[in-house]
Amino acid sequence: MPQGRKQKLSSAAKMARRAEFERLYEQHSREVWAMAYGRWMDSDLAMDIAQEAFLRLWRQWEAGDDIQNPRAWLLRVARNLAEDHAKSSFRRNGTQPPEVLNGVRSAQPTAADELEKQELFAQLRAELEDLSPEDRRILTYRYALEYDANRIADLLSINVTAVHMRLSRARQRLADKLAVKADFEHNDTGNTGESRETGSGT
Amino acid sequence: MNSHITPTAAPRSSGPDDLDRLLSGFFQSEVPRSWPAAPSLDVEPSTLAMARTGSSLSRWVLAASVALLVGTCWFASSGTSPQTSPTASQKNDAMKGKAGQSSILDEMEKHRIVTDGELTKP
Repeated sequence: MPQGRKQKLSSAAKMARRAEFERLYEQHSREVWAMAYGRWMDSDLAMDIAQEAFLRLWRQWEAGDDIQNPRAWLLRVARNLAEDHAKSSFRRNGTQPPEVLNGVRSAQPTAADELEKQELFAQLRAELEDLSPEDRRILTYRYALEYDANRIADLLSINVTAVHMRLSRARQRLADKLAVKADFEHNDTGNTGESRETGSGT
Repeated sequence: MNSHITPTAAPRSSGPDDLDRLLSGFFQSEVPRSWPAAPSLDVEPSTLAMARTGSSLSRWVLAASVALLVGTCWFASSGTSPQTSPTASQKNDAMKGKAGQSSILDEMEKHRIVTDGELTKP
């Protein structure tokens, strides 16, 4: 009889653990995804990493490990997994310019507006690739998940001032780069119709 | 939204709002449309439990097998050699027993003859 009662308790504990796991996933999977995405800027890869991080959490629980702060643990694991992937990709393929990577993504022609949008996004992606992973993470949390600076600071274990500074610096850099690129493109095409453009009168 | 996002307009008019819109549009397009469910958890808990019970069961089976083997060997070794000597000794004892019995019978016969003889005397 005692054994039967023990089995009931353990199954109830398992159900509770499963519910807790589901709750953690619902609550934190997006920010774990964003942590991985900021490193590699690959949505599918980031999702794989996020799923793997949660699986590892479950295995740790099954092994009897008591993790005090699952959220911080998940973020740390996702960051490490993303780093490991970056290293392994580098070993396999070497460095490739962002244009090569971007070209793989957008292969099919679409409507004109959509095509322009994709081109702009490709330009933006190329510039984002030049930023540091930490800056990309901040941008991802800010613009993909619409987190405020306090929440970003908590996630990345940095102070709020640093978040504001890095965000401002990254945005400025992107604005400058995209503006320079647009100027170059306009000058190159020799478009004189754009009177507002600087240097367009050549 | 698309009207704001053009290669010519967005970087040029270059207010912070345009850049914010551009960044929001880009990053939110990267977020998966349908968020996948939590990863399927293998039946590791139950398999672990089964492994635990299975390992204890196998230990019992192993122990029983070893005990049976040892017992069989002991029984086989103890059953063969002792069987011949008891038979011989039993035979000797039987023979001795018979001999003893015959001497007793002879004594009894002699006694009867003697008593009969005494009875027949006038």
